[in-house]
Amino acid sequence: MAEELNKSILVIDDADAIRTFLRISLGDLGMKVTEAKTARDGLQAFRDQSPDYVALDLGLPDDDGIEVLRQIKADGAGKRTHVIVLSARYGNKIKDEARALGALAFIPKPFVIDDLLEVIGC
Amino acid sequence: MSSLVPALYVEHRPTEGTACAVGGGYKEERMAKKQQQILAFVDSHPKSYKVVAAAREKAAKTGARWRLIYVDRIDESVGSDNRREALLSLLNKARREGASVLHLDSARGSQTELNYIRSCVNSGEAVSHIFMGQPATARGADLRRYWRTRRITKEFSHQASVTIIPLEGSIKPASLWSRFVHGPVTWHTAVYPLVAVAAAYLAVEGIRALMPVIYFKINTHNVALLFLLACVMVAIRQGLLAALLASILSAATINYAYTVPFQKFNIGTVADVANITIFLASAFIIAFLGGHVRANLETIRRREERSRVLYEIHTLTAEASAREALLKVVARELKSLLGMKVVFFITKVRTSVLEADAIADFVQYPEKVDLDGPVKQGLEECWQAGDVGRAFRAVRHETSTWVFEPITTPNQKYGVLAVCIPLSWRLDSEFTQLISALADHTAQALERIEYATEMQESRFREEREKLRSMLLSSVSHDLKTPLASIIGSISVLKSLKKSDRLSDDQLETLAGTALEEAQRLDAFITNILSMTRIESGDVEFSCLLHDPAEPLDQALKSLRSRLQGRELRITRNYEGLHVEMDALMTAQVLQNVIDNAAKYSPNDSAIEIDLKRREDGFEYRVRDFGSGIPEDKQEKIFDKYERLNRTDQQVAGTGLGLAIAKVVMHRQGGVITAGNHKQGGAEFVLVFPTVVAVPKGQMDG
Repeated sequence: MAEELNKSILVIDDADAIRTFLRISLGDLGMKVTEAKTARDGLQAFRDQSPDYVALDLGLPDDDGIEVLRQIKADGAGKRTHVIVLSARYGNKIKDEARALGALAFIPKPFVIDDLLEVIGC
Repeated sequence: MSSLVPALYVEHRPTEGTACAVGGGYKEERMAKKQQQILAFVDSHPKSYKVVAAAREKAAKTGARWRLIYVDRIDESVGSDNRREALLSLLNKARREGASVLHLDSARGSQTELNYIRSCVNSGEAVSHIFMGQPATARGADLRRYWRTRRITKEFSHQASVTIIPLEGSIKPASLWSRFVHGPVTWHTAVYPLVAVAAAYLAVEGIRALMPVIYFKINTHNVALLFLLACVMVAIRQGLLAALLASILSAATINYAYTVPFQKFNIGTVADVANITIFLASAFIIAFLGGHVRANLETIRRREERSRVLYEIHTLTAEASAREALLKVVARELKSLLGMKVVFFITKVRTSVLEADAIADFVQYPEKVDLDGPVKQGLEECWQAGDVGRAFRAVRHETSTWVFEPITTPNQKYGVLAVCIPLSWRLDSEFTQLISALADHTAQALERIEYATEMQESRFREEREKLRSMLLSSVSHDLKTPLASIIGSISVLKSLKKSDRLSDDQLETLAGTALEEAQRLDAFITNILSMTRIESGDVEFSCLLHDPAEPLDQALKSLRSRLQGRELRITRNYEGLHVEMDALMTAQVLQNVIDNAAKYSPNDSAIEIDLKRREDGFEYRVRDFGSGIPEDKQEKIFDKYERLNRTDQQVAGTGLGLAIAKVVMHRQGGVITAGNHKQGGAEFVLVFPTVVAVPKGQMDG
């Protein structure tokens, strides 16, 4: 887990605490971490920086995360972006929907950091 | 029922009548356009039910409306009370079968039926059939009835089918007493004529004493005029019986005092015999006329009174929202309006089927009465009969008559309305109509209340179900998000520690985050618990008098760390008063509201808190300098569903605070409102209604 990762990740989540520990942990691994609190800011940041990964919360204050996922995947650059959905929503339905829209993984909240790192591949 | 109708009808069909069809203006096409109407006239004849049966059958066959007109003749005896009651229940039954029932008071020998049909025809109603009874024999008193039907047949058979139904037996003429007495006999009936005649006598004597002055020649004629005046007064004021008494008293007085020989009940001259006879005749005519006027007035007054009763009861029943209150109020009002004892017998159990001993389950309103054997039986019969027809029951008792009317709607039997009528009261069809209308009103009101209660209950259940499912779905977010932060932070902490790359800064941040989130989780759980406990009534509110500063201080103390670095502007515009509130709960409300203000305004902005006395109580006003509340959200922010609906779109563990504030304020009899300050920022106002002045010295208590 100690190897340096020269990748970038965009964290879209309105919960400060989640962003904080992701920033610390992923930053420590050498990833370039960008943060956004809302769907709008998130999409903007995605277009500006085309990150390798997006960690996406579904319950955002201004729009649903599923909509953000759809728009990322509709974007030409987004096809190559790995989107990891992090959500407290429960059930297979939402999981399947996220997968169908092209999400790399669906990680139910709460999760330990290793769950995410496993998906990213380190 | 058709077997009751003899086959020997004498029908006068306009189309069949050879003589009438030629000259008659009867046009079937035109008649068909209007709503056909069947008129049936019944009176006190014991076989009147045959007329009703024939009319009912015709109505059923043709689908026409039918109207039953009961003609109450003062000169015809109804017979025993049983007969009267049978007649009343006959009319009642017809009414329930769809007939409109009309009650006409008829003077002796008048052409009431004829006049009524004329007025119907003149006002453009399409009378298609007329049903009347006629005695089989044309003798004595029945002769008049015979001529009556002949005349109606003659006049209307060219425009309607007139059916005369022969009725065996005859009507007994009414007793003299029942003809004269229209209404209860009181001591007024005797005293009034006495006083009037005495006044007339004094007037005559007065004039006699003044004779030399005013040159008034006294003789039998002008004396008689003064006494006639007295008779007129009595007739108008007291009716027939008193007027007759006055006439006789006057005649006696004139005879005694003003005819030769004076001071003796003896008539000396033929002229005086003629005088007194003419006087008596005029006085009698006046008495009858006056009595008639009086009777008519009485009828009108009675009708007005009854419509007023109906109207008042209608208003009452429309307003009522609880069964018990409704019955108590209606029973009390009816008692005062009718001047009679009124009792509702209402079943405890819901029933649409008859139960043999349901009577034991009756609850009585407004109070319990003891009924003895026959009366109880009448009540039972009425209940058993339900609305299947002859349900109306009247039972004579030693001192009164009990009248029973079932309280039913098409769907449900509720009980029986019982009215205790004084023996002197003459039951008439209008009164029974009033009673059954009252029973119907009550039944409808009871049904409405029942439906309303059911609806409320189901709405309540629905709401609870909705809340439950929302709570369930919100738990997944509101509880899991802080947990996610805690678990995530600690997992990072652990993994960094393991690889020995944990800096002090990182430790601080991660541990701080975890702690903060754990506290947030705790606050949220507390909120959910208090919400459910307050709503289910588990939380006891103890509203006592408190200094309004108490709960505020408590709230600020709890929020100390939350408000660090914020400027608080607190103004207290009151003194010497206490407010009725639950101090602990109010502190919770203030805490939630101030916390909300801190959350939705910039970290460096101030929060204003005003405490002041107002006309309708006491208010706390909390204002922030944030962006305010959007117009369409000002009501919704207190709605727990609004919060729960948005589950994961909001910062976890927030939002229920205001919903709790609202519930708590409501439970304390207060109000909380949200709005925006004129100069920007959200503003919450808490109002408590009860304020008590306290002398300065006791303020610390």
